[in-house]
Amino acid sequence: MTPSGAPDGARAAAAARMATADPGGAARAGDTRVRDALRRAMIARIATVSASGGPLIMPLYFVVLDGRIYMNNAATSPTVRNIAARPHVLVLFEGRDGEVVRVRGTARYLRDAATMRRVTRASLPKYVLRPRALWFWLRNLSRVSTRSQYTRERTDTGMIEVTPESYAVGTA
Amino acid sequence: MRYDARVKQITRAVGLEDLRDLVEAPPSAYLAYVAEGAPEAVRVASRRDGERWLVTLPPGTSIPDGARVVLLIDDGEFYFELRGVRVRGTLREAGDGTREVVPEKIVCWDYGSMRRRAP
Repeated sequence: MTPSGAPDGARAAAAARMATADPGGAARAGDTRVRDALRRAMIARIATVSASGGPLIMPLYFVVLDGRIYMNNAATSPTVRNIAARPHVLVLFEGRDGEVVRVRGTARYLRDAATMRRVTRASLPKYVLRPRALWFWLRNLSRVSTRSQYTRERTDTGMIEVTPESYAVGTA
Repeated sequence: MRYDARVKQITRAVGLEDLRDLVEAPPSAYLAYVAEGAPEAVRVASRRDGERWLVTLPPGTSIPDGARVVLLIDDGEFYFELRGVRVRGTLREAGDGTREVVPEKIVCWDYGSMRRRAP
């Protein structure tokens, strides 16, 4: 049951979990929990700060290449604008048993063809070619042309590259 | 209708009413804020109370009343499953250990509802 599922018992349980949640202690890149979360998670949540000092958090697909985190995003997106103004970011990944891995680092936005190709190649096994993903795409074949047009309309894409500086593992 | 390449024809935008099940039982919710100029975010328990957006923060999380925050509720792993709500607003005390995100802007999306814009 999810945190605000209607039953009072479930809500109380969620509140109880939150009462003991812990933003976490320092960890290393090689920590099993860090590696496991980066390998298992499908979504990264990237938190940034705008030029005017406002917070933002967005869920994005990601891959890890040579220790850096890459996320596809439009050049005009608020996250990319924020990174241009303030490159310090926090990226969150959900691991096993409710763990949250927190990665602090510096981000930049890349649009060169070589990086785009590398990231796209690395993304395919994760989001398209694995059995669950293939099954998902097969079930949604009728929507693929709409999705293709959506992608074609958004030609201003590039890659957010995050170079990690520190890691922490906790439950919040 | 004439085609204008500058106007995107396909949208994934939906209304809050289309994501009622998600906001009433969020699988995960995160609250982003700024601490000493740096981005910060924590997983929170989130629930709706009528029109109010209530969150329970993890212990030890100190965010002053009036702070600018963004509440993110999202769901899904594969492309057409992805959907979410982003609530930008300010935080205030709501009693009983909970805080309220007073919304200024709400953005909703659902890749499963991707469609051509109405003319």
